[in-house]
Amino acid sequence: MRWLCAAAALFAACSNGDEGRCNAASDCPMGQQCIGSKCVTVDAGFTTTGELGTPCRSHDDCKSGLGCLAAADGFSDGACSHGCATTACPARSVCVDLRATPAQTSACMPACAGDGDCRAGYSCCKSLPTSACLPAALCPATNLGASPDVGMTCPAGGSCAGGEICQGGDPFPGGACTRACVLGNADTCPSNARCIDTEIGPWCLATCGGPGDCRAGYDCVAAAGGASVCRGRPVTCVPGALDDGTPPRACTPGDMPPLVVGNGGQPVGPATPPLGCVKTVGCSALPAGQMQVLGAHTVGDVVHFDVPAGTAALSIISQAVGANDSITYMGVDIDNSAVPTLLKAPNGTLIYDDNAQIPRTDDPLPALSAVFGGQTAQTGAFTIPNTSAFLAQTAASGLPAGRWSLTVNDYAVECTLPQFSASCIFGASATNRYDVQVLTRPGPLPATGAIDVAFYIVATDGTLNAQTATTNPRIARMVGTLSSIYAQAGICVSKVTFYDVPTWAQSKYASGTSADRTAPCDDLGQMFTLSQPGNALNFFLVQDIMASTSHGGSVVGIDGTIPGPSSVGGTVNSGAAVSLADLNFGTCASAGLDLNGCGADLVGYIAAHEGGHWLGLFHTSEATGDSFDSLNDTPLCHCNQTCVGATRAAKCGSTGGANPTLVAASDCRQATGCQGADNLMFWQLDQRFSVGRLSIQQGQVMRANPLTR
Amino acid sequence: MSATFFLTLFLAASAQDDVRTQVEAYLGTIDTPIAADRWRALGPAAAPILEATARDGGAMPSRRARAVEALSFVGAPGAADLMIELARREGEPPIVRASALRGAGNLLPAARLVAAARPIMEGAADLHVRAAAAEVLARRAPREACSPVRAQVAREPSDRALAFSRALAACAATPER
Repeated sequence: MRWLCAAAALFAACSNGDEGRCNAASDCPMGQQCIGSKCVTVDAGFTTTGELGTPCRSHDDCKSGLGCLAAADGFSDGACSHGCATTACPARSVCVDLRATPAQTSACMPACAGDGDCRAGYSCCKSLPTSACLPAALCPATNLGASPDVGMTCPAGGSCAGGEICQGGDPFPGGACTRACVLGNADTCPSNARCIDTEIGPWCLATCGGPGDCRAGYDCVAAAGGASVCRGRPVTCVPGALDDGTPPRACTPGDMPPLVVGNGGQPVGPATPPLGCVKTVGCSALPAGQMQVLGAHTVGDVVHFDVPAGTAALSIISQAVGANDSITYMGVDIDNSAVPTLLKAPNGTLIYDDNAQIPRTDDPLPALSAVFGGQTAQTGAFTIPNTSAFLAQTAASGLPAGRWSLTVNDYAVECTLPQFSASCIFGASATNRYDVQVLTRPGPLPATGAIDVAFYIVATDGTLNAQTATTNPRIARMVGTLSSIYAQAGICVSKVTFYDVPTWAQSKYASGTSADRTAPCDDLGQMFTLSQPGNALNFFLVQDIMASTSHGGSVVGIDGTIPGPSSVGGTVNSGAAVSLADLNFGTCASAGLDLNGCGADLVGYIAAHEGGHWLGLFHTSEATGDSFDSLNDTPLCHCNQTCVGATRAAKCGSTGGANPTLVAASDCRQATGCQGADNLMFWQLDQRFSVGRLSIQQGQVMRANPLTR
Repeated sequence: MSATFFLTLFLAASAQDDVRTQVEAYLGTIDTPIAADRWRALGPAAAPILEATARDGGAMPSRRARAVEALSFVGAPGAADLMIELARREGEPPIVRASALRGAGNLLPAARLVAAARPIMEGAADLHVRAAAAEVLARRAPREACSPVRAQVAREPSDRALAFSRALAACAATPER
C-alpha cells in the first residue's frame, strides 16, 4: 500500500484542503454556506454526536474510527458507521451486508427491536438475520410473490417490476431485472428467484429447470438449497481471438500515417444510453503467443505464469469481476486500486511488493525494480520494466525466463492487513475477484516500433466527424505533431482511425466531464467503455474537462490509468481524454512545432503527453518539485532556492502548507537539478520552452508497452 | 531617493514577477488540476494578468478559459462584468463561454445570475454553452431557475437532453413550481 499511503497524504494536503473550501457562499454548492472558509450545510436542526448511527454530512462529522455513509448512497441524512467485512461491530450494533447498495460495503448499523429504536428516517429492518436500523429503501422487502421479469432483459427505460432495478455487471451481462436480498432469507426474493451471493453482493437470480429456461449469455447453474438459477456466463478470454493478424504498416518514425474511418462510419457503442453502469471485462487483442489468460481469482490468490526466454517486457492486466469501487482510508475516499503484489521472478526475487516502503531519498524510484502507478479502480495495468534499474538489468537478455508468480491484490484487501485495518473505515474486503491476463512482449526491445491510434470524436462543431476528420487539415496537423513527437522514441504511428460516438454520448460527455471523479461509474470511465476492442491508443476528443471536487481546476487532458490497459478495449480505463477546444485556433503556417500560434499543434502535444502516460510514463517532475519519475535519464526540477528563488523556495513542499510552490517551466531550464521544461512529460506546458523531448529510457518504456508493435 | 525606496520597488517588482511566474505555471497545466484555493493564494496581483489573458483573443481558447475560471476565484472589480460579457458573445469559443458562465456563478448573486445566464441558456447556438448556463443556474439559483431549466430541457431534442443531466440533477432537490 505504498501508493495508498502516498495518496492518503496527498489527499490530506490537497483534496481535503480544497474540498468545500470557500471565501464566500457563492463558492459553495447550493444549500451550503461559507463558514470558517469551509462550505457547510446549515440545515436547521442538524446536530450530531458523531456516534455510530447518528447523522453526518462528511467523514469529519463522525467520531474517530468512524466514517459517513453518504446521503447520496441512500442513507438519509448520512449515518456514521464503519466497515465490518473483516472486523467485528461494537456492542448494540449489527454488521449489515450493504454490498448490493451504492455503499458497496458491509457496515455496522444500530441494532433494534422495533422502529422506536431507530432515528428519524430509519426503521428497524427485520428481514436481516439480526434486525438493524436502515433507511426503509435499503431494507429488503419480504413475501414478494412471483416476479414477471426477474432475470429478464431490462425493458426500455430500465423500469423493471416494482421494487426491482436494472442491474449490470458480471452476474448480469446485458443487464437484468433483479433486487438486492438477504442471504439466508429466501423471502427477500420473488418466489421465482433465489438470493445468491454474487461477486457484487447478494442479488435475486431467477430460478431455472434447465438450460432452455435461461436467456442467451446465461447458464442454469446449481445454487445452494437444491435450486438452480440463471447466472451470467463469465467472460472467458481466448488467446488470440481478437488479434486481427494485420501487421503494422511499414512506416518510419515521423511519417504521416493514413487516416481512416472506423466502424464503417457508424457510431460506436449502444444507440441509446446504457441502463446503469457498464463494467466490462475486456480481452487482450494480442496474438495468442503473447497472451496468457489466468482467469478470475480472489484477492490473495497466488497465480503463476510463464515468461519465455528473451522476453523484453510483461504486462499484467487486472480487471474486477466483483470488487468495491472505493475504500475510505484515513477519512479520505480513494479508488480501490487493482494492483498486483508480490510479483516474483522464477528464482524467487521479489520484483514488486505493494506494501514495501519507498526509500526516503531525493529520487528513489529509478533504483526500484518496478513502480506501479495506476491507483485506479476496476482495471489496473502494470508493465515492467518501467524503472532505470530494471531496464538496465534486462537490456541484454530480457526478463528472467521461467515461471513467475504474483498475488492478486487490491487496496480493499490491503485494508485487512493489521497495519492498515484501523485506518480503513470502509471498503475492506478479502473476497474481491479479478480477471488476470498476462501479456508478454518478445525481445529484444527493438529500437523502433509502431502504434495504432484511435480518435473518438465526442465534441463536434457540427462539421467534424469521423469522415470529415480524415480530410481535415487541422486534424492532419494534430496527427503530424503527435507523430513527430513520438518519432523521438523511435515510434511511428502506423494508422489513425476515427470513430463517431452516438449523439447521446456527445451530449453527455463532450463538456463538463469531471477529471477527478474517476470511479468506474463516473462519466470519464463510462465514456472510455465506448472504446473498441483492439490494440490502439484511444483518445476521446472532448471540449473541456473539469475538476469538480477541487472547485475549479479544469485540465486539458487526462489519462485513464498509467499505463493504460493496452490491447484491451472497452474497459473503464481504456482511453485518455483530450480537449480539442484549441484545434482550429491560429494559422498553423509554420513548418515546425508552434504551440503558441497553432492550436492543432497544441492539441497534438497534449495528446502526445496523455499518450505518454498510457504508454507508461510519469511526469518527469511533479508540480511540487519534490517527486519524480522512475527513470534516471530524465531531467529533474527541484523545488529549491536554486530553481525557484529564495522567496518561493520558502514555500516548497510541506512548508508551503495547503498551497506549496509549484515549479514552473520557466524555473526548469537552467542549472543541473532545474531542468526538464522541454520534456514531453513535464507536468506543465509552456509555449516558450516545451518541445516534447523524450529521453532514451522514456523511449524504452514506451516501446516496452504492449501497444507498441 | 533612499536605498530603502529602491529596495521596496525592487521587492515589489520581484513579487509581481513571482506571481506572474506562478500564473503562467498554473495556466500551463496539462492534467494537474489547479484548485481554487491555489489561485486565491496568489492574491489580487494575479487578477490583471488573468484578465488580460481572458480578454486576449490571440491566446489559445483553453488558456483563456482557464484564465476566466481563475479570475472568478481570485475576484477583481469588473470580473463579474467580464464573465457576463464573454458568456454572451456568440463569437467566443464555447470553452471560453462555458467557463465564463461557471465563473459568473462564482461571482454573481442569484438574481443577477439569472438575468445574465437565462437568456444564454435559452438562446445560445452551442448546445454545451446552453447546458453550462443551465447547470450554473441550477446550482447557484435553483429556486429561481429550475423551472426555466426544466422548460429548456423540454425544448431540446431528446437525444441532446443528456447534456443537461447535471443541471437536472442539481434541480432534483428543488420542487417544480
